[in-house]
Amino acid sequence: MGQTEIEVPLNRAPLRRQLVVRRYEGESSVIERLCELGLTIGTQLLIRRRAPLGGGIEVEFRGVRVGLRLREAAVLYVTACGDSNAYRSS
Amino acid sequence: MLTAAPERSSHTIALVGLPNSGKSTVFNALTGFRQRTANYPGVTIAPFVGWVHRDGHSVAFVDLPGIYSLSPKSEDEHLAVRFLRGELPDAPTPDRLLVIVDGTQLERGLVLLSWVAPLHLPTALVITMIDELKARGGVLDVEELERRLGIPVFTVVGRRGIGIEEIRRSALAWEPWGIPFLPLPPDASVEERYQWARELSAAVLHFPRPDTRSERIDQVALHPVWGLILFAMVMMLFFQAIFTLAQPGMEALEAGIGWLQQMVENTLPEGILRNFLSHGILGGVGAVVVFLPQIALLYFLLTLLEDSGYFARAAFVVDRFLGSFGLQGRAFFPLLGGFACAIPAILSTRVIPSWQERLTTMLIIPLMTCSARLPVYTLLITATIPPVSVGGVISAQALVMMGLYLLGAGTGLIIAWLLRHTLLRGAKAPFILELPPYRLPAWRTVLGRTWSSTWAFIHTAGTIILALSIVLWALTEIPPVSVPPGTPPLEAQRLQLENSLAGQIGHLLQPLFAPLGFDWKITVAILGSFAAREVFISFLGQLYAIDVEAAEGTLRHVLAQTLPIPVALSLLTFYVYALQCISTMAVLRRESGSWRWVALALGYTFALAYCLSFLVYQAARWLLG
Repeated sequence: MGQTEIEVPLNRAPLRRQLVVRRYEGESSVIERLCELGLTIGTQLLIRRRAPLGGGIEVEFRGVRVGLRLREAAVLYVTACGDSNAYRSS
Repeated sequence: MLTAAPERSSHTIALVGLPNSGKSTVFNALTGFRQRTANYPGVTIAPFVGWVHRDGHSVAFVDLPGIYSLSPKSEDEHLAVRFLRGELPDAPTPDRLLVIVDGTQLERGLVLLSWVAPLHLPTALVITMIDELKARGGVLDVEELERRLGIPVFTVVGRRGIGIEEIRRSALAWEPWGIPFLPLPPDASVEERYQWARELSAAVLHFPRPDTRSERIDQVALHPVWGLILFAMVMMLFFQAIFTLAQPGMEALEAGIGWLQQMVENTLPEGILRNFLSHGILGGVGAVVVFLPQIALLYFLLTLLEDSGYFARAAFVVDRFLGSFGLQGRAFFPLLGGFACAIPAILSTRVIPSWQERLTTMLIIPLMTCSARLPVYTLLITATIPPVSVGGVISAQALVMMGLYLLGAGTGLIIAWLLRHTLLRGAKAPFILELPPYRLPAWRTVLGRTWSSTWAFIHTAGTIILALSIVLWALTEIPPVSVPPGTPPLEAQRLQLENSLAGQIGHLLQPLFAPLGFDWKITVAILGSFAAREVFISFLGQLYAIDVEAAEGTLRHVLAQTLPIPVALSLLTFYVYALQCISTMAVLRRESGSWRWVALALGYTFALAYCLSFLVYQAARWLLG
């Protein structure tokens, strides 16, 4: 499972794969809002799709969907989550 | 002996919740239609307040904008947080809190509870969407949740009003609610809060199946091809509905006002009183009420789109496009609303978190062709543009009309780009937008919100428009012009207008407008438009009344014969750009907090109007020989 070790910013992460938030790096107000929404470190998430005109992605975590621009997505660093059944379980 | 009677007075209960938690539905069910927006001095945003009375005790429920924490990001969130902290001058301090939590998102709702718990207010929890939770197989242990939090927990199905009476009774009886005691330090991190919420949620809720319906809809609604087609269709329907569905209502109201004016003219003796009632008061009221069907419809459709969940999707879809002009997806509906009326549109920019983006949006909204311009466009186009077809497909008249709409919107976007790269420069603000589950809108909420927003429009804009109409009427009646006896009434009317203060100002300013091809009559009519744009038509009607009678035709026929095409095109261009609406300026002042921005809006729109009308006039004269 070498793939799970690679940490990438969310804007470069693959679609429709279970991911885990590892760390944040960037504008503090963006980080604050993403955390409040529930994207805390260790949260599992999934990129559902790209925005129809591009420029953004739709992510799903804790049963919530959020649209964000790629620039905002870039503050989140994620790794792939090996076990897809882990999603939503506590 | 006197015993202390239980306190029977008025209390304030604030409704707090995440965006899309069903808060407004609970609020509407609790208060019915007994709600108003409350304007607190110094506050640009009015929360909704609804009063409920029983047995001499009254409770004011305050519906605050949705928040995620006590660190606000947008103007809406600022208001909610300041209200909760009792920091709004002259606004009541909340006595109690009703924390509204979507049952299908218990964990996130509990995190919000953890943010507001340190306010140390008696609190009750309201779990909404219980029907959806059950349908998805969720089982909630309410007693356990009450025991762990130490506060009452109500479960409701807001849209059907189930469980609402229990909350109302408990609130009115002023039953003791607990102050939530949470095993969290006040400075707990977000991670700790989510950790606590997750554990509590797992203990009281047998977790339901995930929401698959929204994902199925989104596979179409956010599809690169189908999504864009759906988006275009929704927008076209929205646009079409605002104009066509409102039409019968607007016509009926216009006819009603006309009938009342006729009644006044027929019953009262000729004189200043009759004139004041008929033209000053009824004319002014008419200018306000004629837009009500459209504004109510606009609010209705916006609430409907928002409640159904599509609103956020549409903002997500257009974000990239608007982003390239320095705006963001949330600006889309305010801009679209601007095609009906700039006033509600400017008010609806409050959802835009970044101040620079919000102000830019407000400043370009007046360039969206509002419906007050439509009668002017229609009159001028049908009078002067020949009814020929271009390429045998589309009529020249329709083409000009479409061109005017596109001209306004296109210029608006360019101005937005310029503003964001000069005066309102600033890094691109973050765009993070929750996409709520698709849900059937609750009619009660939609109608309640439509009603209170429309009422707010009557209250704010209506009074300004009415006052201005009266001032304008006075300007046309002062000084009273004495005409020789035997002058035909229409001629007397024309002489009065020409020699009144308004007429004199028009004559005085005419040289300024001469390079655009405007004579003094048009100049007077343009000045009249500052009260309300459609005054243009009634002014021209009065100024041309003699010619109309002589020609035994209508104003349109007279204009067709006397108004050259270059002047008509120049005039149309002027109307696309000029901010001739004092009500819009007043609302812009209130929302932007400074006359400086009003001056900027007025200045740039006038400069555009003047320069482009000049160019259009000169070019058309040269081209058409």
